[in-house]
Amino acid sequence: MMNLLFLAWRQVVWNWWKSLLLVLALSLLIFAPVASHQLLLVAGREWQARAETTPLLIGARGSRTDLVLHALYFTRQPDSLVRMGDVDAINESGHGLAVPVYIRHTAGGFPVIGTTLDYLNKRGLKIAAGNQLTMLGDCILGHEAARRLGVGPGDRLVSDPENVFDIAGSEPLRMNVAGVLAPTGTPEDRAVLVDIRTAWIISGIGHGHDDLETTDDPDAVLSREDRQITASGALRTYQEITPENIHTFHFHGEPEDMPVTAVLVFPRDERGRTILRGRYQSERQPLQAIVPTHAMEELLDQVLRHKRLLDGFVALLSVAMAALLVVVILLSLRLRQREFQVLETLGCARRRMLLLPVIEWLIHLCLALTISGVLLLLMNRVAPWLIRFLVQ
Amino acid sequence: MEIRVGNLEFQYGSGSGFRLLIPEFQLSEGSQTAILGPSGSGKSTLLNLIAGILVPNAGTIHAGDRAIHELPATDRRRFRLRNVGYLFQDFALLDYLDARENVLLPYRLYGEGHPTREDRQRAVELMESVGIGHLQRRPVTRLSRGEQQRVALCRSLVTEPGLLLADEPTGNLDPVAKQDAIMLLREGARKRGATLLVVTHDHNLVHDFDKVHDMDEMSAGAGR
Repeated sequence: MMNLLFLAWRQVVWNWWKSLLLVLALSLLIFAPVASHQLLLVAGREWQARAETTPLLIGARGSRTDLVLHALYFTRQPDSLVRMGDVDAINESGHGLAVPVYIRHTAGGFPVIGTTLDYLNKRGLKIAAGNQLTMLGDCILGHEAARRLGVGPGDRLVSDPENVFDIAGSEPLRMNVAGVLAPTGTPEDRAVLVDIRTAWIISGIGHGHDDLETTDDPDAVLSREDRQITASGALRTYQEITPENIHTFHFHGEPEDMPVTAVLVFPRDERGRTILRGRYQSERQPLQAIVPTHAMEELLDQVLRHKRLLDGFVALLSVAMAALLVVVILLSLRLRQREFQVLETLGCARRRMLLLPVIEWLIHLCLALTISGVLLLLMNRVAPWLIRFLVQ
Repeated sequence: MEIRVGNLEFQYGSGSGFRLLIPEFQLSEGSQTAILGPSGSGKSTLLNLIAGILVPNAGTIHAGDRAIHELPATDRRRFRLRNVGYLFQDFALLDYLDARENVLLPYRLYGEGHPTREDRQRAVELMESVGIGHLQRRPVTRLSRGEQQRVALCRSLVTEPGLLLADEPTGNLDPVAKQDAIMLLREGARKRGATLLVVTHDHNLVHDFDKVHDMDEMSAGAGR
């Protein structure tokens, strides 16, 4: 057998380019279906683990999947919003803790999560460098976001403008980087966390500017009638919140009407959970309460349905590829007819002669299995990241 | 190894126009014999019959005390591997092996335990004796025709066979190289006491052979 193995190996090495193509084709044939299956398993585990960190989620009625992806993976904002008053109502009911999130903007390309300190506690986020959020305008960066942006505590980070052509829209806010989170392997690694009021200021719902009563800029005031002062466009507004100007920042509108894109709810107990779920069951309710793990299961079912279709295509492709490989084998055997004739003339046993191409193909197969195995190992290592990247 | 052929009759398949008839033919042990004849006269067929690659329709072929015509296919292969050195017109070297591995090829077909250290040593000595010792590791595709012919010669001699069969062994070599090749072939066979049978259509190569036969005279030729 060693002699046959030697001859087969020499043949494989001699025709290295042909062997390489065959091995790559076989590797892909093995890797593609296994990888998609593995990826789905990892995705399922990843999504479920992430979903389990949030027992209940409340948001505007609409796509359950979109809401879960928005709240857990910071994808685009839902079409309808929740009011801050709804968050207060849940907290005042005593059935659980409601943590609002307002995710609409980005900074340095990373999503800005406007929330409360409860978010950090409930998610178990630890500060690795710097401090907690202490002042309006502070931000905390996820580990990956800080690394990519090359910023740390004491640096400044400017929020991304929503639309460069929107001159009348909200202006970017220059934030103070208060701290950097320890790596978690969750989407928070690639996020910028701010107090929800800071996020509202980025949205333009709140702002700070020169005091109209004391300003010495004559162009800043359009008119003064009794106690009504009308500001002009020349009024100086602040793009950064500092101890000197923080007192000038204020919000327009009622506090209970402030927008929230989703509410993470941590029920006090099973009873509280049931009551809260029941409260938002009615179709007439503008809000819905969903259990993220259920929504993730639905999402996974949808993906599985698509995957089955994909598996069908992959199976068809595999059959076509296998047929091509058979053609290649037959053609290669035909091309080597003279070689087999010579071996026969020299006295090679027929069994050994038949074994020679079989061993060659086994070598190709072993190499392909090794390559696809290595690729699968690599893929397993990056799979969680890949899943998050695909979702985000 | 003595070869005796008697009342040999062979035809390819049914309805083939070709028919080989040889009433009697003999090679004494250690002799050097050449058979001359044009293409299609059945020279190669006769070699294949003696080597046990083809089986006669009738008649007998004896190699020493073995009745080749009666041996089952497996034994004929084993006989060929152990006792026959074969030199092909196109040299039939394997591209994917270097010169030395081509020489050692018959041992690779032997089965386990080969090539031994002695086998390898013999291969090296053979290559050195024909002037290609320095080309051992060179791919055969990078050898000249003359060098390839020498590699093929070493391969046919490496197992020290009792019978050496050569089918137009000089291939497309130039006239000088042809003479050298035949000389090396005869010398190699003589040194090892092997019986040499060469078939060729080239009259210029067979002057010094012990016996020279004409294929037309050997064969009864009936029906051809």
